[in-house]
Order: sequence, then C-alpha cells, then structure tokens
Amino acid sequence: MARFIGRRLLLMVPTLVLVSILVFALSEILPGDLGRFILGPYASQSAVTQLDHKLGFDKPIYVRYFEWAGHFVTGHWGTSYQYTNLSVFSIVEHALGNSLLLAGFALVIIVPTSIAVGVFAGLRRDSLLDRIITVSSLSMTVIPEFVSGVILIVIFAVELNWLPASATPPVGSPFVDRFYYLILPAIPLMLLELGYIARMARAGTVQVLNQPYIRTATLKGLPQRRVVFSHVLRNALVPTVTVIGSQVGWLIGGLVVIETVFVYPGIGNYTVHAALNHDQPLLEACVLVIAVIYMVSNLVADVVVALLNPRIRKSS
Amino acid sequence: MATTGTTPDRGDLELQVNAAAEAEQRRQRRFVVRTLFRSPTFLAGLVILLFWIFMAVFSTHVTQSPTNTGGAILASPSGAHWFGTDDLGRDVFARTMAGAHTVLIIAPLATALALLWGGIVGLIAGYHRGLTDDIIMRIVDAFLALPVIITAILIIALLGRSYAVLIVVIGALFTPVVSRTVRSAVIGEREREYVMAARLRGERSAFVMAREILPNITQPIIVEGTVRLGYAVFTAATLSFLGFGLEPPSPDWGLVIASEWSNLQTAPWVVLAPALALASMVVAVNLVADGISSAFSK
Amino acid sequence: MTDEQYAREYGHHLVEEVLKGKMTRRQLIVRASVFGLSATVVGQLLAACGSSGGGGTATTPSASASAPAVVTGGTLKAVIPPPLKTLDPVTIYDQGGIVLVYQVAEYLIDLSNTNALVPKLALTWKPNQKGDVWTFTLRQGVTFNDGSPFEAADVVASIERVINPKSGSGALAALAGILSPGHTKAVDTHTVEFDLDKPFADFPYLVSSSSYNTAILPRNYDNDFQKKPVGTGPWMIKKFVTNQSVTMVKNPSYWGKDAQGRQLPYLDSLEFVLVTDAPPANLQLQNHQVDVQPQTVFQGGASVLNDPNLRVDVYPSSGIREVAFNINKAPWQDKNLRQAVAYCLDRNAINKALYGGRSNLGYDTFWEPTVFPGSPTPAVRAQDYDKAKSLLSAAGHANGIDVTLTVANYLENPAYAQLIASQCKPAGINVKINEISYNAIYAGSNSTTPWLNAPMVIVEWGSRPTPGVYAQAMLLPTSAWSSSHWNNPDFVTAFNSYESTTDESTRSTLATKLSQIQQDDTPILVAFFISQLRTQWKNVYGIQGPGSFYFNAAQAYIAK
Repeated sequence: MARFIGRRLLLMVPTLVLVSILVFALSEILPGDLGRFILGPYASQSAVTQLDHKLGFDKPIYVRYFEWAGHFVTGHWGTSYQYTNLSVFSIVEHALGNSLLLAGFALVIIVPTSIAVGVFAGLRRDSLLDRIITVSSLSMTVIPEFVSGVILIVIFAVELNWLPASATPPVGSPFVDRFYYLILPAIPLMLLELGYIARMARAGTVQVLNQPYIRTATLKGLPQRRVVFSHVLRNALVPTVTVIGSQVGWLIGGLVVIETVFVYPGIGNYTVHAALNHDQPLLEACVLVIAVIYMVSNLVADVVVALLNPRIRKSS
Repeated sequence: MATTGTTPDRGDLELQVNAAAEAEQRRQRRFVVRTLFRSPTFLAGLVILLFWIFMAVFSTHVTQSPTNTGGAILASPSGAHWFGTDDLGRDVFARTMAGAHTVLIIAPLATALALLWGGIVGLIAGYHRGLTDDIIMRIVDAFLALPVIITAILIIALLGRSYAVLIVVIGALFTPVVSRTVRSAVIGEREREYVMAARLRGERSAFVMAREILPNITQPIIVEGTVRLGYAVFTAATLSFLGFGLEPPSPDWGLVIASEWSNLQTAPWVVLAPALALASMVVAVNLVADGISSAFSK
Repeated sequence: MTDEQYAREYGHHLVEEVLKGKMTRRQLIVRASVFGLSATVVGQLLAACGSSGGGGTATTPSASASAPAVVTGGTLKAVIPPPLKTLDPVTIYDQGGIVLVYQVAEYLIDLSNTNALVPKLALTWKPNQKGDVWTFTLRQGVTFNDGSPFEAADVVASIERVINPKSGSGALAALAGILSPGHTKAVDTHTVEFDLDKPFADFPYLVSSSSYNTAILPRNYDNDFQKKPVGTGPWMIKKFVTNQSVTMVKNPSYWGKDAQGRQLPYLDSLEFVLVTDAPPANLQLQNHQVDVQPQTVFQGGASVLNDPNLRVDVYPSSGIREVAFNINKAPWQDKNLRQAVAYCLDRNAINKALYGGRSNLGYDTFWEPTVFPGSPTPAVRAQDYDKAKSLLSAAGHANGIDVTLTVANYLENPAYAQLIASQCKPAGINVKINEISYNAIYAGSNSTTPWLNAPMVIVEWGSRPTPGVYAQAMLLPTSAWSSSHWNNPDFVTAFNSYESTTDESTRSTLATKLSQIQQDDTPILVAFFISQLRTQWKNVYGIQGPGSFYFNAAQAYIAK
C-alpha cells in the first residue's frame, strides 16, 4: 500500500511540471499586455513600456518561466500582478478555503443521500420506484448549473425572500452564518452530483446483487439487512468512490459558474480573472493547486477502493 | 502481407471462422437495435432529439424571423409571439428554435474530434504498453488535471469566438478522457488470440490496431461517444453563459440566458424558453446515451 | 356615464399617472385588475404607456423639498464593481476604483448634480487676462486623515505627479499640451498658480473630480494608497477585503459641514459590496442586501428599474458610445459616406432599444443643450434613406458598399452595433460586425491597438464636463485618444480661439461654428448621450453627484 501511494505521488510531479509549462505558455500568448492592463487604456505608450521593463515582462519566456518555477518550489509564490498589495499565497488560501467550504458543504449532504438513493434503487431494480429515481436523477444532473442557479435565485431569493441572493454574508458575521448563505449555491451542485453518484451506486449495487455469492448468502438464510450492509454496500461503493474522487477535483475547478452567478470569491472565479488579466503568478498557483487537489482526491479514492476490496489491492 | 507456407486448409478455416464471427456480430447488432426500440426512455429521448434536429435545419422555414428587431420590447406571450419578445423586440420562440442549430453543430463535431484523437492516442498507448504508454499517459494525465472550463476560456480568449475554435477546443479537452477509455478497452483486447494470431502473421502494428482491434472495441467507443456528447452540449452551453461561446447576435441558448437572466422577474419567458430547450436537449441526449449503453450491456 | 365609459376614463387616468411618473406600470396592472378591467384592456393601457416609459418612480435628483428630515448615524450599503487592481488614485480608470478613491480623497473642484463647478479644496479660481495663467486659492483649515495639514505644496506635488510621464497616469494625456511639468507652483501656503502652455478656458474642469486622477494626496505620497489610504475626504477605509467588500467609517476630523452647520458626513459608515456582473448586483439590490446601486446598467436592469420598492434617479449625462470613422482608412476618407451612415440611423429607435428612451439624443456633435446647458442647438438628423442613398452615390458607391465595424463585448456595445447594422442595410451599406473581447480591443501599442486604429469602431466614453474637454480629448490632430484621426484646420483654429477666451458671447459664437463643423464633417457619430441611473431603496436620501462614477455620500442618510 505504501509503495502504491508513494509511486502515485511520485508520478504526480512530472504531470504538475507539464501543467505549469502549459499554463505559462498559454497565458503568455494571450492578447493584451500586462503593463497596459495595470495602467489602463488612457496611459501613454511610453509609460506602459517602462512598466513592462520594470516588472521584467520583456525578458524571454523561458527565462521568466524558470525564475517563476524556482521561486515557486521554494515557497515564494510571489505577489499578484492585479492586486500588488496581496501575496499570491494569501489570495489562493482565501479563495481555496471558500471553494472547499462550498463544495464540502454540498458533498457532505449529497454523498450519503445519493448513495442511499442509488443503493435503494438498485435493490428494487426495475420497479416503478427505481425507474422514477433513475430518470429524475438523470434529468436533474444534466441541467447546467447556471440554469438551475438562476431559477433558484429568482424563486427563493427574490420572489419568496427566503434565502439571500449572494453567497457571502456581510463582513463581521459569525462563521455559522456562512452556511445559511451557502444553501442556495449548494443546491445546483447537489443536483448535479445526485444523479451521477446515485447512478454509480445503483450500478454497483446491481452488479453485486448478480453475483452468485450473494444469492448463496440469501439462500443460507442470512437476513437481507446483513447481506446488504456487509457485502452489497462495500462493493457498490467501489465505482461510487472512484467517481466521487474524480468529481471532487472537477468541482473545485468547475465551480466557476456557481461562483459567478452567486458572486462567491472562490478559486474558480479567481482563476478565470487571473487568466484573462495576465496575472501569471496567481494563475499558475491557482491552476496547480486545483490540479493537485484533483490528483490527490483521485489517489484517495483509489486508496479507499483498495481498502474496500482486497482483491483490487493485491492486483495493483 | 501474407506469409509463405500458409496451407490452403488453414486459410479455409480462417475464412470460416471470420464468416461465423461476422454473422454473430450482425445478430448482436439486430438484438441491440430491437432492445433499444423497446425502451421507452430511449424512445422519448430520440423523439426530442429528432425534434431539435428538425428545428436546427428547418427552423427559419417554420417560424417567423428570429432577427427582426421590430416588435415591442419584452412583450408577454401572445398570439403573435408565442413566447413573447426579447429586449430588442425579437420573437423569442423563433430565436429559441434557431438556437438548436448552434448546439447541434458544435457538440457532435467536438465529440467526433474527441473520439478521433482520443481513439488514436488510446490505441497507441494501449497497444504498445511499456515506455510509450507511460509517457503518453503522463501527458494525458497532465491535460486531464487542467480544469476544463478555465483552460477552454484561456484558449478561446486567445483564438477568438467562432464555431471552429469551440469545436476544436472542446474536442481537444475531451480527448484525454476518451483516450483513457479507449486505452483500457484496448488493453482488454490485446491479449486475445486473434491479436496474437495477427502479430504472429507478421502484421504491422498499425494494421493490427486499425483492422483487428478497433472493430472489436466499437461498443465501448460508441458508449463513450454518447456520454461525451451530453457533456459537450453541457460544456458548450456553460462556455456560452460565461461569455466564451459564440458571439451575439447568435441565438445560442447559453448566450441568450447569460444576456437575459436579470430579466427573469419581469419577463421570465425570455430566459425560461432557452433554459427549458437546453435542459430538454441535454436530457434527450443522455436518455439516448443511457439507452444505448444499457442495450449494449445486456 | 356608462360603466364602459367610466372604465375608459379610469384607464386613461391610470395611463396619465404612469406617464407622469407618479405610478409604476406594475401598480397600473394591480389597480386596473382591481377595478375589473380585462387583460386585453390592461394590455392596451400598458402599450399606451410606451415600452418602458414611466417605469419606476423617476425623480429629479435634487428633490429635496419633499425629502424627510435628516437622520444621522447608521450604515449605507452600496454595490459597485470591484476595483480592477490595487487602488492608486494616480492610475485608476475603472468605476470601482474611482468611486472608492472619491470617498477618501478629494479634488480641487467638484461637480454639482448639473455638472457645474463647485468649490471643494479650492475656493476660487481665476485666469489672467490672456487666460494662460490660473490662480487657485485653497481652503483653509483642512487636514488629511493622518493629521498632516493640507497646503499648496500638496496640490503642486499631486498635479506634478500625474503629469509626469513616468507615472503612467491617464491624466497626462488629458493635460498634454495644456499644462507641462514644472509649471505648477505654490505662491504661498494656500495659493497655487498654474502656468499653462496655451490659454484654455475649460482648465478648471481638468483639475476637477471629472479628471479622476487629479485627487489631492499628501506631498510625500509613495504609491501606497491601498495600504495607507490618506486623503482629505469624509471617509476612511477601515477594512478592505479584495473582491468582496470595502468598509469605510466617517472621518472625525472632516472639514465639511452642511448648510445648517451640522458636521458631515451624516452616516457613521459606508459599506461597498463588490460585484462584477450586473445581474447578481441587481438581485442584491432587490433583495435589500444593499441599499443603493450607484450605476444601474439599463441592459438587463428592467426588473430593478420597475421595482416598486426602489427609486431611480435619472441624470442626463454626457457619456457616449462614440462610433469613430478612421478618416485615414478606406473608405472613410469621403465625408459623404460618413454622412450617409449618419442619415441611416433612427436615433429614437436606438435610444428606445438600448436605454428605454431615457437617454438624450445626439446629432453627431458635442454641443448639445440638453446635456451641456448653454450649447447651441444643433440641426436634427432624422433617418432619411433617400438622402443616405444620394450621399452614397456621391461617394461613388451607388451600388452599395461593405464595411467592417469593430466592437468590444462590453455592456450594450454589441447591441448598438447590431442596431447600426440593421439600420444601414436598407441603404445598401452592409456592416459586418467584428466583435472582440474587451481586453483585445485595448491591446497593443498605440499604432496597432484596435480602438485607435480600426476603420470603424465603437468606443465607450464616460461623461466629460464640457464639449471643450471632449474635443480636446479626441477631435484634434494632437489628441491622444482620437480614434477618427480627424484633422480639420478650421475646427482647430476655431477651437483654439474658443478655449483662449472666457468671454461668454465670443464663446457662444465660436461654439455654434464648432458644432456646425463637427456635424458637417461627421468624423464620429454621437447618436445619444447616456443618462445615468442611480437606483436606491425608497428610504435613502441625499446622495449627490451627476451620476455613476460620482457617489457623494457625505449628505446621504436613511430616513425612518
């Protein structure tokens, strides 16, 4: 197990290096000039050129890349180009915290729910209830978050006034208040994940139920409850956990739409603005952090799966 | 390239085996098709999809003009305008029907590209294993770790907003996922006898991959393709909503929702029409995809 | 009177109330249905009210006669876009940055609700005989919020700083050719003298709050406003959470007092919620998570503008969407072609579509009396396809012509481009729209950037206080921001005379001449002057300033 984990962690390194190069190259060739962005369209060209030189933007790209990379790995993530009074680290810390809170809140509620729903549907396979659950969770999953988000805001925030329209409480509110403000933004996420996870749980359940040893256990007279909990659940979770692992990583980066609609300063939002505004240090840090989370959550999922199913552990 | 020393008997046997295999395949396909048409969810999805395909091609012949800015602004639904008018006076129903066009060009073409590129990468990686596989998959992992929406936004900001860019970008971003699926399918197949037989015959790798393995993995590729299609519609709409899809005055659904969503209170139909259209399209694609994959797995 | 007649009368009464602004359309619908009028009739009544005329209770900004008594204390919450980058008065150019700086730092001169000059840190300003030396006397007894005294040396340092080419300030181009470095000096501790390169009658405007980089900062300012926001203004920044909110508290040593001698500001604190996109900002306003939205964008703002809980203040403002013809690039060298496009436009329809009819019409000249009172009235240009077609033939394109219009994906610019294209088509002018991102249109050097070099381009301009300032910025061959590259010697000569005298009747004659030349030559299209909309909850009073970027909350209060 330790070797398995170790090897995966080691393989992450070249991947991350490649990601950082790709992002650097992309942001380099985007139209627009950082000096021009900082000074605005009305500043003189000479001032812009001077600023570019002062900040080192006229050095060749590979020089800038290695300078940045050298600082980054030693923990000096630099200052944001847009917000020159803030360190990249503090921005990423703040933004990531926000995103993790939102995603965590949504997942904590929806993961157990989806698994329960999926297993339930799988146990009653092909019944009317199963059909209803399958089709409706499928339909909810595929509605884009901006569609459900927008409709939710208008109904619950504006018309009924039950919930706030933005995701951040006023400055100085107690921490607990944050969850009240996160309810609406979390719902589109929950709907998205419900169908996906429930489907996987159901498929896993169905697959297990077809196994001969389950039928043997039932025939031997074991109560169905015990059968379900000790065998079905454990094996149904295998594909489910895999999916959850990849979803966590996707969620963190893919929260952009929810963050836009609900005005939430999360990492997705910051990354997009950093990308468009040539804020290279911030952009690199954000993308790498998202990539690490994605890979680590996949790894954790794989480890959990291996723990659940000894057979898989041995064959890896 | 036939080797020397092939006895006529052996050749005959091979032909017979091939013929039997082909007949079996045909039977399987008929079975799949029959199962599909017996599933109500698949049929429902297919009907909706066909409706939108029809609209994508013929909407301008069937509805009034979607670009006429003459009407009253944000008018409620009425006899003249079934879904009312938008903030420039255009008929919402006509625009919504015309919006199917953009999605049905971008999503299928992007998916086809992803299947093509992902298929090639997956075949090569899965077939060769070893160092080639390791290197290719590390690169694939790197692209997989990139946040999809954000990378797409970067590239689109660079290359501009057009059909071609969107198709290529979405296709490229889906390639890694497809290549993974294809690769695992290829790995499953490459130990089979017919592959070994082909290699013993001395066939070139490219031949083995293309003529032997590929036809046998069409099933998981088709399933993956239908799933990707749903995601392609989803991704294209999200990009449009964030302002990185097609440009105005395109009636693209994501774009319309983005520009009209604050009118949701006073003129909800302007937003609800494209939102429901989009939802129905994505649901339809997924129902069809689900139907196909479960028919294959029976 | 029969029931039917009575119903008709009542319906007319309701329509009148709406058109007068005393009732919203929503209230009309409610009253009408209570009265029992059928849906069809209600629909007809609404149509009679016009597409959105009368929506919301639009009041003139200075309706102080009916305002309730002042209440001191409390917090006012406003929603604005976040500053694009670190706050620095010298280099701000976006609404978020400008509004925030305006609370903390002040200018020599401020603008009233009607764009008139109001003394702020300067008490008087007088030109010499020739008009090329201006003497400003400064207000006494003012301190910065760090305790240091405000004196002439601070003014000299602040102005010199922004016209120094190294600072990269936008003010450099605004003052180029008018005030050079080294020509601003302190005569004594409270008098400053500006020695201009040439006479310029509108000079005071160039050091007013409309020239937003000229905020007066301490003489030892070191580009660290974000960390140490030191200014003479009524507010001090208490907490700044990037991309989220800015909390300000009142400056206890502020010099300002109201007409009754009460200490300003009335409120204890301001909170700015930072939201980039308009739809979520609108929702926060409607949801009462904020009290006021300093600038409501018309596009997509229909629900806010028609909300019965909110009051909309409409300010005629001089912001425009310039449609510039680059006269150095084909086919725009021929003024007949430029005029042809001008006569294709249905300006009323454009105003209605983009601004619900709220903006003031323009006729391709900056001298427009509805926006700049005292200007000569220009000739009206209505849509005239016959004239357009004959101008088109005169330009040698009787069979039509294809042209390209470059526009940024920003607010209503794309919609405006589409309206232009659809209105030019019947005359045979095929406008192809080249829409690019906001970053892309400003990217590149001055000789390559689209906004200054495209053959035909739409450029957004925030309001300017006088036509002269506009002309200086973009109509002269020496202008830094001329997208048209217009070079008309008659205009230049007349303009120099116009700015070198402060005599009203001479200026008036010259203004008429300048307006006619600009209109005739049509280097740019000005189809409208965009009115600014400020929306607030009905219990909010006292916000001053001629719209959008000016958010003067010193006398703001929330009534009981």
